[in-house]
Amino acid sequence: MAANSHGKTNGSTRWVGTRPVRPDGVDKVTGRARFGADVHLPNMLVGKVLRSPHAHARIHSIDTSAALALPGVKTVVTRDDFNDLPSEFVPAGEMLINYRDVVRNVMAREKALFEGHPVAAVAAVSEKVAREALARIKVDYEVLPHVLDVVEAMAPEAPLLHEDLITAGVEPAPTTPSNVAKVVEFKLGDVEAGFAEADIVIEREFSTQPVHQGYIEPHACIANYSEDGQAELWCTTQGHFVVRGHCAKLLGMDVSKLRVTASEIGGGFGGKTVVYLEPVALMLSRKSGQPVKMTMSREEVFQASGPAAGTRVWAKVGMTNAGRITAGEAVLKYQAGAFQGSPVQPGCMCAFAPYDLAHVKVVGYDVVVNRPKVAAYRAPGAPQSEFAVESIIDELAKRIGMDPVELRLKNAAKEGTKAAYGPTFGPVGLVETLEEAKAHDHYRTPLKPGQGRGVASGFWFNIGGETCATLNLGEDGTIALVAGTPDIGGSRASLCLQAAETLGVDVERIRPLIGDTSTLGYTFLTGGSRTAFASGMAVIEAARDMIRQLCERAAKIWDIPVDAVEWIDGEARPAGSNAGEFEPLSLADLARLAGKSGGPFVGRAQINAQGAGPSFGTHIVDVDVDRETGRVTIERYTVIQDAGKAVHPSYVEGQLQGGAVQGIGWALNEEYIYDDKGRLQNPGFLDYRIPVCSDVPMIDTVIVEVPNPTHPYGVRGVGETPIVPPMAAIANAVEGALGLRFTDLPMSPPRVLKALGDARVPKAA
Amino acid sequence: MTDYMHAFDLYVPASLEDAARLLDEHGTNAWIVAGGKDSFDWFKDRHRQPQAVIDISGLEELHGIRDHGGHISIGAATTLTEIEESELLREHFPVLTQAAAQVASPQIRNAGTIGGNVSQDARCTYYRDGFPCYRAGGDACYANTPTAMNREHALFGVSRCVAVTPSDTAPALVALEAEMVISRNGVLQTVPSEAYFVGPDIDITRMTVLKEGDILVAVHIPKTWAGARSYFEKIADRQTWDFALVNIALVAKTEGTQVVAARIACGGVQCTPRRLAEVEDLVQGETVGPDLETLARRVAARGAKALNYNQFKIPLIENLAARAIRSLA
Ligand SMILES: Cc1cc2nc3c(=O)[nH]c(=O)nc-3n(C[C@H](O)[C@H](O)[C@H](O)COP(=O)(O)OP(=O)(O)OC[C@H]3O[C@@H](n4cnc5c(N)ncnc54)[C@H](O)[C@@H]3O)c2cc1C
Ligand code: SF4
Repeated sequence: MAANSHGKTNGSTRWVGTRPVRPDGVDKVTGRARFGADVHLPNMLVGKVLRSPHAHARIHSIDTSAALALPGVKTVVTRDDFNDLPSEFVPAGEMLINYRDVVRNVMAREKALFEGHPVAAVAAVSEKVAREALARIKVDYEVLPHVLDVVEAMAPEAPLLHEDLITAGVEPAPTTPSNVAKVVEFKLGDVEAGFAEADIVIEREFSTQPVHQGYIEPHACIANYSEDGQAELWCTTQGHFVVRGHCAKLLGMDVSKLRVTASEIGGGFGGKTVVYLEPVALMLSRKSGQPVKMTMSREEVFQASGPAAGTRVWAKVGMTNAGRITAGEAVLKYQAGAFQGSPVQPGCMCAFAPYDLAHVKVVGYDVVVNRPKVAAYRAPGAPQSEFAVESIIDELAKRIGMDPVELRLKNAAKEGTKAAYGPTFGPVGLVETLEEAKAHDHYRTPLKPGQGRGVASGFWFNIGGETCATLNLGEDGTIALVAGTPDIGGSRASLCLQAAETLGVDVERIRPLIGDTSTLGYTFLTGGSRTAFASGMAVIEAARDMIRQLCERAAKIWDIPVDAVEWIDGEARPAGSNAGEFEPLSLADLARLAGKSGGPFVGRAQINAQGAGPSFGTHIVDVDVDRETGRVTIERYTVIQDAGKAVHPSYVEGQLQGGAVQGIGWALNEEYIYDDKGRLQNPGFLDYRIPVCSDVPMIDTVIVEVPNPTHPYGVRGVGETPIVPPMAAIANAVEGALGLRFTDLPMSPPRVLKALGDARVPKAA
Repeated sequence: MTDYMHAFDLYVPASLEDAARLLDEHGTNAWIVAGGKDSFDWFKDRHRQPQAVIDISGLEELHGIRDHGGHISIGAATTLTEIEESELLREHFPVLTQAAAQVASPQIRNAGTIGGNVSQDARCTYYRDGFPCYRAGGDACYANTPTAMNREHALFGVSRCVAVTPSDTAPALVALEAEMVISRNGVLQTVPSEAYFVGPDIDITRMTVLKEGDILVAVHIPKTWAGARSYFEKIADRQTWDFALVNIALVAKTEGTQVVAARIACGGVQCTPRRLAEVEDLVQGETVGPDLETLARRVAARGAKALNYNQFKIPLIENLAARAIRSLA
């Protein structure tokens, strides 16, 4: 059919690649946009959570009678209100979660497993009353020894978090429980043979701290449960369909009875792919018969919502004197937090992904500790393992005196490379980012005294998945675009651009909306850098569906066969002179004639997007290290990444810059400080030190475009890869400046000073 | 931190006299608020719940930066931004304008006052978390145990409590020999800045000499060091919006490369701004150069006793002292 002539990959595009003002921009800068905490309902109650003050404690009893007796308290919820759920793994973001654990994470059952673990919740007429009620709840705890460190947690004598946790993935299965939930292994070739070919082998141990996603908007929701068992939920989330599924499961509801609306979202970075308050708010609303609003304070966000896993990584890389990498091996130990499910598996898969290697072996351990359950955080698992590998690669380059970009180019993964984790890469852009790096002014500019330059590359898979989209044509020819993926990075703009491109209409005529769970078919969450790709494909599909209908209608009006109609530049035209002489019918013409000619137009798509394009990036950073104060200043930073196709280049650049800045924080400052009782000491932005504007220079970006062949415009995901290289790039730069290699993060002034001191005073033998 | 304050009565007195009367009336239930940047933290944490909050930020008597010939006076309610931007102060005492400019963030400096800055309470996280420690009237120090996290705590002057002075302007004022003017029982008294800050050996529950009912009215800076050479540096984990790990303020009179006299004070290393008296003595009459730096480095941290995690502050003081001296070259 003629309508197929649209959505061409090659050649110029009219809308894709331009930078219109984002459709949600004005509401955001004027304060009109409604975020998680911005909805108020008549009769609304305030819900508050009582959290465990202990890192590990058995809960013998919970007495809520005094709280319930307080005037203004409408209801209380504890573990007794939630049915226990059997073990069942379901995807959450790019990680798996187990419902048996979700129900326990939302409300502690047998034990409190981290400081901040919810133990009870109340709904009351005001925040003041709710807080007073919390103070009246009596919990009988038996405090147990706790463990925070991943290596300590793996020791045989470590306190056990789950008395029935048997390590999966080892043969024969262990007979005694431990804190190791799972062991995973990825192998390619024969590492021993690979190391035998090497002239140089470097092995080192690394550690990274858990770091929080640090979204500006704390978790918030409002639940309204009605007498007939239907409920509405408004919340800040990256995936309201996923929230619906989890909540319905925990509350024993039909999903159709629960309608979830995603509010505007003030950042997520993976951390808003799980449920915390939502099931509790629904339960409080169900029991009280009134709407219940819940919001977390920043302290609660830090204490009880997911950080990225803290890790210990051992890695070993072998290379010939000519700079050919012969083998790579690594052992990854990842903190999962209180429940299993750290991203150690993707960590293993990504560790050596940037390289074309014959021999690779990576073993990963998923270990529970008395910390909040980790959640996805941009490229979950990858930054930690790639930090180790990219640090060693740098050391190898320095050892043989080869330029580190050159060394990477020599070994880079490219189309046809078989990755250690299984697949063979299609067209990928690592080589292109490295070539750009080599040619970039940044890389060629001489350093000033005291400065060091570091380079590192990074990889992330990106995903597709179940996605729906609808285009509703209005009677004046404008279009409402409905997508199901909450917009955290400007995706509404990029979806409109893809729709405009496909339809051949002005992007200004398309108004986007994120539909609630009842207005659209199941759509997986915004995560895995999938939105511009997968929702984009759905929107293109929906646009093609609409074009099909429009061409059919034009054929009907003109009374010619549908094959004789083609859709060009936003209008139906007779295809060639044989089709007859007709004035073209524009989208607006057809919209106007819709009622008289056969009814309205709705373009729909329901797809399971396949073929997400992996994305590679290379970062260059210059640091200045002050030897007298330990201060590391980022002097210049350039991110080079393959976007496949940058639909809205400004938001791609924003993703690249944001990832780099978060990586700078991870590298230089961010860490959780716990006291000896396992209580978090820095649950606030003052002491949990995310970089602020004045800590970073303007981050330069270079977008490389190696089109992803499965997407009509070549789009790959871009949101996650940029957080992978910064830690190694910065450590490599610090090494360049000081001659000291940091294997433990963060490189804060106290630690840099300490390392300088240790280096000056040689240790006694 | 929680984000919800207790209910209190807010008083906005129209004169210093009224303020003093209100303080007298409410006794231990009263709390002075100027910019509120420290106070509101305490209220939101709910570890302090005073019934009467007395906002002195609007008092005419507490505002302004004035040249009185022999000294310059700064009203206690003058904001840090006003100090940072004052031409008069920059010309006479750049060490103070630099220190003020390093406090927190522009937003906090717009509201935070010099009086509040020098009267703020300790930042020890245990204390701020509401632990019943010595400083809070209890009988233990949670920061000085074998496993406690104490990277931000003291190297000197420890007496049960190991908390440090968090203020950036305090060391500058001590270096400048500033005097603090306090209204006590309706009478104005003057206290040297060094005596204004008190350590745990004198009073473990206070950071300053201010007692119930006292109002800090102004800071007077004698022109002793006006136009002298000066140096201020603050080292923190993050470059803005963070408390100092260690800060240093130096004023010095020089003839060529010879130091005639110098005063140096450090924050973040003991409960009060610490004069580096040995360095001051050492450099007097000496010529600035690498040798002097080395000597300064050698004595700067003499007597320091590190806790488990704050060892790094020793090289930091030494290096900052050396750097301050180097700046005079
Ligand atoms: C996020 C954050 C970061 C910060 N970073 C820094 C930093 O980097 N460096 C730094 O030095 N400080 C820092 N501070 C601390 C401090 O809050 C500010 O420096 C500010 O100057 C305090 O002044 P204020 O007027 O707001 O204090 P207020 O809260 O109004 O007062 C503080 C205390 O002083 C008392 N007080 C105030 N004025 C008088 C007076 N005239 N007479 C008697 N008592 C008085 C109050 O009763 C109260 O106990 C930070 C604070 C925050 C919240
Ligand atoms: S250092 Fe001082 S303030 Fe901190 S816990 Fe010890 S006694 Fe309390």
